[in-house]
Amino acid sequence: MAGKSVGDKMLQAVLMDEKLMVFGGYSPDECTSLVRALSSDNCIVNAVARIIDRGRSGASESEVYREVNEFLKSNI
Amino acid sequence: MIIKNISIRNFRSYYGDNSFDFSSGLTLIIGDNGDGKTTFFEALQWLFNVTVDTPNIENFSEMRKSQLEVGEMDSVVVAMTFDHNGIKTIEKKFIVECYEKGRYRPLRQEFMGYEDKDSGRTPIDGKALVLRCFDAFLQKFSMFKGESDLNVFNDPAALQQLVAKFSDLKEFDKYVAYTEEFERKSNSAFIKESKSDEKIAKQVESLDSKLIEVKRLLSHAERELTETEASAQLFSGKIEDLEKHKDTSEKYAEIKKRIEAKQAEATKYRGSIAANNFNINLLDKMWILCVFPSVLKEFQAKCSAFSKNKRAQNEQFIKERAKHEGKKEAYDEITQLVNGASRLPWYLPGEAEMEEMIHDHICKVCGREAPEGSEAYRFMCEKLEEHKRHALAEAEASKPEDQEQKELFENEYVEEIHNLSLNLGGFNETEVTGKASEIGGCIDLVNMFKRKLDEVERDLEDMADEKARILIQAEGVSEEMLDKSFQDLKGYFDQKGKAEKRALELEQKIRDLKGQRDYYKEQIDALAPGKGQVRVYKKVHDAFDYINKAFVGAKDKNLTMFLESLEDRANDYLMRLNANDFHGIVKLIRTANDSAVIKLYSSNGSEIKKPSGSQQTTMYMSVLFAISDLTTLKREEDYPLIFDAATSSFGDAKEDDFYNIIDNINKQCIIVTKDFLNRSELRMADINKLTCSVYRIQKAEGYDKNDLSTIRTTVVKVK
Repeated sequence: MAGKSVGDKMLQAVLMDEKLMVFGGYSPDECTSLVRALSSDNCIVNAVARIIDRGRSGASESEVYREVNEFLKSNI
Repeated sequence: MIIKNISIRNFRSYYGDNSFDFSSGLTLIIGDNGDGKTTFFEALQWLFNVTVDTPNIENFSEMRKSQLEVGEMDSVVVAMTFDHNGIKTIEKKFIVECYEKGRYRPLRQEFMGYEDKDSGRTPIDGKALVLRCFDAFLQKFSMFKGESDLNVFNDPAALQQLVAKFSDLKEFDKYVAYTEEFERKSNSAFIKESKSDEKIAKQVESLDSKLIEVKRLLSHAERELTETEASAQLFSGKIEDLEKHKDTSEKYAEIKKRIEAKQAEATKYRGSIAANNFNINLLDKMWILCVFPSVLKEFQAKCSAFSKNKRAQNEQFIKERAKHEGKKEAYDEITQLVNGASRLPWYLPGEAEMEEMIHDHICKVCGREAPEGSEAYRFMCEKLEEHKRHALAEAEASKPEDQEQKELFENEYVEEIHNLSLNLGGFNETEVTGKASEIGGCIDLVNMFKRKLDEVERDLEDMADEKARILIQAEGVSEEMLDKSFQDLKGYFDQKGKAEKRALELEQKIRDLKGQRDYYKEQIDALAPGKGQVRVYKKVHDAFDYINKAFVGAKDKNLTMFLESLEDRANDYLMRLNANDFHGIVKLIRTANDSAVIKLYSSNGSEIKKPSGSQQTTMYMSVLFAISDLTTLKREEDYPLIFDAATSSFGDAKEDDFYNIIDNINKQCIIVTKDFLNRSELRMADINKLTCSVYRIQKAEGYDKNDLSTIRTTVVKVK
């Protein structure tokens, strides 16, 4: 099995936050990889994955905010 | 990356071609002072330096240079073959030409790389290969010159770089900043939207303005706290430095004071010596007369001898004259006739008449015949002989006649000399003798000053050595710092105290403001918007708020985990490197701005504020091994650690333990050292206990101590 990417590790580290877990209502199983999180039905898991993914792909802070904000407004 | 071979050609003392092969474990390169240890290290630094493209003639071997004829050329080459996902080589070289007798110029510098592929050896850009396989970051944590260089964490940026490199902290920083901004923007959007909701508009407006003010105050207080903590940290560091060198500083102050006192003493003696200028005194103070008493004594003795001699001669003269006069009187008495009549004078008859009478055989005084052989004839012959003797005696006697009239010594020279002798004696002699004793005293005094000065100068040399030893022990702390050390200490304590007090006040203020902020936030959160759209904005803001806090927490946890991981690995190495000695526990303590410091603790929790040189070295090396482990994990590649003179502070026992342990650590280490040498001879018994490769580098024999072009480093593989 291939090792975890930096994105995966970051996602896991953030989603393991207990308060966020309670607020988002997701389980630790959904935190295993960035690819999986990007297609998650849980909007918090998905939003965090989008922030990391878009940030790593070079998008600006405003672009990431606009995208994630719209996503949350539509899905929260 | 595993280094397989390093070859050095004509690089400074490495004349001609020299080659080192390396295993994947420990390799020792042993050399004494001046044998080429640092040159080896600097040859590698030169090879890895990708920032300078201009060749430096100073790197060309002086020995080779001295052999080049006009028009001849040779090269300086440093090359390294290594395994890094396959065998690769980097080679840096430049050509040197002798263009005129004694004049040389570097022609061009080339930086080549080679990669062994299935298709064969492929040339590539050497600079790109270094950047790909052994970039500046890896060099910084792989190559160490001297013991002081081992503490890479003296530079706070080093740990930041390391942490950022290996823990993805840099990326966390970016996401923390992003999500903070997301929370702020989403909150503004919610507040703005809330104002259109009549049910909560007024409350939101009031709470929001209070929240904005609290956040402003909080931000201000947090900024001030960061600055105050940094300030306290700064003073703390300075105090720590001063306390660390307290003993040294005290010793330094003491030796400095002693040196100053001795220097003043030396100045005093030099002044006293200079004040007694013998050359000037020779004429100005008439010291030239210092030999007068002995000359006078000799003069007086000679005068006395002359005088005595004169008196003796005079006495003899008087005696002789008296004798002569006595004889004359006696003669006159004897030659008187019986009847008292006077004899004829001796000269009558004369010599001529007597010879005539003898010739004529007749006495012409009495008229008697005097035939030859007769009594009368013999009488006349005797009379003639007597006449001759008398004439001769008279002639002799004419001199005493003169003496009777003259003195033996007509002049008074001896008396004059004697008078001079008397005049020079007495007061004059006393005065000049006093001068001689003054000179003697002065010379004795100056000699004493010189002896004292010699002693003081010897003391000063000893003190200078002692001072140098103190400065060496202070590990690079400048004299200036030791000078002002304790003058500043009190000031630093005051300022640190003020900063710490202010930090406590600010922490309390921040806690209060955070309480107020949370209270206003809770108040806002507790509002139940009437409009659905506002409710959505509120949920979005809540989501961003939680996400931001999760990123902050993750960043914090990540840093903590990184430091813990590094700490665990470092302690493992520390224990192994000090297997037979006290080793303590390495702690990496977080400081402001996500930096950290390395400290050594005892297992009972006390900090070891003054670790010994070898404790420090093994502590820093442990952290370096730990970093190397992380590098290996991170890049899935191992990297060598290259040390130049890293164990100077080790004693022999510590040294043996250290090498025996490092010999068994599964990591490529190249240590250039002068350990294992006893008066330039290898301690083979100790070397044979190790399993590693050992090279001996040495100046070739027969060199001229003053001529660099005769010095050449020879490389011999010992085992």
